[in-house]
Amino acid sequence: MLHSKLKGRPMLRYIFCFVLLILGAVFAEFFVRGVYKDVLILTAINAIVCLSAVVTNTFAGQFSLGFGGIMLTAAYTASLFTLPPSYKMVFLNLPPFLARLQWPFIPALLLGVLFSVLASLFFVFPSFRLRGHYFILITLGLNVIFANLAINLRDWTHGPLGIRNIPFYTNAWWAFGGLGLTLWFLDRFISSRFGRALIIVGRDETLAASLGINVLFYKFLAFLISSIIQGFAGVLWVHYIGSMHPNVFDLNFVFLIVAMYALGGSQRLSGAILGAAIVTALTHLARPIQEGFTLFGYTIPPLMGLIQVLIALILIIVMIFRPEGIIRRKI
Amino acid sequence: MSLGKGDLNGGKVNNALLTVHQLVTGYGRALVLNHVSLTVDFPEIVALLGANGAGKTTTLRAIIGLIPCWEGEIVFGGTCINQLPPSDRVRLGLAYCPEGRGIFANLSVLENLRVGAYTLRNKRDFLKNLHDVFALFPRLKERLHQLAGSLSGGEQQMLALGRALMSNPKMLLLDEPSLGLAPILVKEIYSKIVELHEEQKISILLVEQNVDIALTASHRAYVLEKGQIVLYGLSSDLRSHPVIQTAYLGG
Amino acid sequence: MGYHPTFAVTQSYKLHILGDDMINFILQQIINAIGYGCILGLLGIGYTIIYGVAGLINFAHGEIFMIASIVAYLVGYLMQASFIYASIVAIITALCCGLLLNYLIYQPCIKRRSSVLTIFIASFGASVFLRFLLLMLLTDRRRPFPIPLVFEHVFSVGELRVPLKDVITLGISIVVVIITVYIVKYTRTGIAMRAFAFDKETAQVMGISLSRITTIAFVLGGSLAGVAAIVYGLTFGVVYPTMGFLPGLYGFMAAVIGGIGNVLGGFIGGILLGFAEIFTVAFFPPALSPLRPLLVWVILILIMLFKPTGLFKPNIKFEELRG
Repeated sequence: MLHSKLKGRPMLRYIFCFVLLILGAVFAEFFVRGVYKDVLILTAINAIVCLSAVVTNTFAGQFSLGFGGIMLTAAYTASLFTLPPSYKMVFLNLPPFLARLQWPFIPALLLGVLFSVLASLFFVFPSFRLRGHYFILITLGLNVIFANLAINLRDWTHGPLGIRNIPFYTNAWWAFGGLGLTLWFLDRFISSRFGRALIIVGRDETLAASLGINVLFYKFLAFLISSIIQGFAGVLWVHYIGSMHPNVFDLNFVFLIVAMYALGGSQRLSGAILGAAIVTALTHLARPIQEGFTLFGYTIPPLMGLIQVLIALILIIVMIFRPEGIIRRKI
Repeated sequence: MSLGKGDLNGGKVNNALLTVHQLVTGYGRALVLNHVSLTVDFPEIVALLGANGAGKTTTLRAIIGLIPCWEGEIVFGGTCINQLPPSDRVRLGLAYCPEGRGIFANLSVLENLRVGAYTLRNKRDFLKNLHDVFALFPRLKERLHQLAGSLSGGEQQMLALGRALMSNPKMLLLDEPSLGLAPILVKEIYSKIVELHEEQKISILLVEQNVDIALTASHRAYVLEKGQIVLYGLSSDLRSHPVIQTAYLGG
Repeated sequence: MGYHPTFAVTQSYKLHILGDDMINFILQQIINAIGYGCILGLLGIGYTIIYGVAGLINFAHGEIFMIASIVAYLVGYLMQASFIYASIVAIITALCCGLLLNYLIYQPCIKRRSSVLTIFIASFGASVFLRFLLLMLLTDRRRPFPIPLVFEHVFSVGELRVPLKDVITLGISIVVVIITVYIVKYTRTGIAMRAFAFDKETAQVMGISLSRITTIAFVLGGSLAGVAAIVYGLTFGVVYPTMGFLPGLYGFMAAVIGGIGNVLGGFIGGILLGFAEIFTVAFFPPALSPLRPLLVWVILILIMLFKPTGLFKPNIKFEELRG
């Protein structure tokens, strides 16, 4: 019902979201600390990734699960430029000009996004030839490949130990602002000519082709947009956490994003945000329970993995009974 | 013979082998069949005619259970079969030859026939039916172990028919047996159809675009247009009907 | 998600030896690879049957395999039961897991006509659920598989060491594969499965019930995963909750390589893949060994892109593979 009130009135929608985001950022930045701040900011960043999933999976109909690899590429690239030379000289083996410099946030961010777009080309071309199960598996595989490359290119990435001392550039303003920017962009995009064409491609490629829509171009566009978003999110992530290693965006991460996408509502942008909120909150806030606690005098032992078990179970149930997720499209 | 919609059973509900009563169905939200009613007695051959897209195939698919009915009733052999899945309807004595033959191209001729006999209880029945099918279609016996996908169009149609017969059906639903076949083959197939009807007393509901051969082979016929029965009656009478003459027989 | 141990890593120093020793080395690798190839082959057949009949990739197949192994450990090691008894219980457990997955998850999704992505996510979720459930309950500690001491004997053929375990493994696998191929090719049910894999609708019109044939596919697939668990236990001797992930993945690759829906092809694909892995490990410098999963994925992606039908004839219509 909220959606219907906001549907036809972009101005109202923007104001509503803008206010919410400002409140969120202020709250996250000034009023909370520790785990709660993590939850808020990471929710925002996860939501950004989730939105990119909506672009490729829901709009364009390309079931891509490759966000891990793309975010990894952007994260490593950007941090290579923002890391202090003192760290780089010691731990990494870079060409001298790279080891000496240290860029501010925004140029590094842009470079990271550029590289993530380049990385996404690995997904684009298979998408032209395959669909369905095979394509999903290829995108999953590309995650593993990128992670593996990160493990092996020790000179640049410090291998499995990862890199630290990444400057903490990301604050609540960046996270929520980034989310707002992404939402605004996607909202404009959907209502544009390009967005509508993309949705037709997603629903029925043959129909799109018969209407004169260049299917290849729109598939390319979908991956372009989503990889920009993912790269952006990846850079934000590492500059909030302050460190990076090859398993940060591994298949466990992909699973969580898939869960956010599917639970919150794969048909709407707001669903992505809701899903991100639920899963991120659960992951972080339930962690103490995983470590074991005492209840009514009974000691419950540590149950590592409980969070994933619960999320997976909820995900299965939702996929059976309400595959569109919590926030659905009204028919 | 009469024109128009409405109840077409003429009071013969109890005797009919198959009764379709006020069937309403479609795909997604698109309505295809709009209160279609027809009957097939035992034994007779009934033709369902109409232009492309009129809903002929949809009718057969609804009868065999591949698509659900939104409204209406399908009664076969005295039992209402609306809620039954296709695999159960077959066990009651219905058999279906899909549009485009629907043979299993990855299996041999013999294996196709074995699939057709899936509902049979014992080997003796299987062998007996196999023998009957070979009597009707000797060419299938020659090609027994060949991959069904490598057969010619006419042979595939024979295989589809033979396969449908393996389950001892009381009634056959045939969807465009003449599709893609040369006129000589069409005649041959139809003579086989009439032959098996007369020998084994199997009722047949056939969907056809080739009005001429359909009316020749059948006892009665219905004409479907945009999801509604617009004309029905004895085939011999329909042949001389002015609407049929102009629209379907070209003059 | 741990990697499984292989035997060949220790042999790679022999690279510089030429001539007879090289032949021996290669033969030894082949012998080592048998067990591993059989595991992948059996898993591959399971995948191919389920994908062929039900039209879905059972992501949790590797987890069925893992659960069977853990049950074998529990029954054989903790309860001190015999190897045969433990194996039978393991296979039955795997069968039941397959049935449960089918009834609880896949059938409901199919009945509701869910999209490819939805079923995939449910499948992925099932895999994560089972893996982390066992991880939560048991921790990833390696536990021993109950191998009877009798099996530990090693034959010496010339300069080669032929472990009895590998011979038994090969024997079990061949018997199981022959039985499976027989079922699929000659029995009424098998022909029905192949027909169903080719054309679901027409098969139903022949009287083949969708739920029954899918159940049978999962029973077969599950049992094969159970046998694969026994073979894995004999070959590597360990059991742990994350053991199912990589073999499951490679098993799927084996199914793709062999041609989806082609039972014998799936097994041969597994053997080929097993051999490929062992040989790349043997001839790879040890420093590059973390790159192994990379190589495997690259091969998979290349095959999916350029020869998606696999090496042998697939059993289902190719258009279906393209989504």
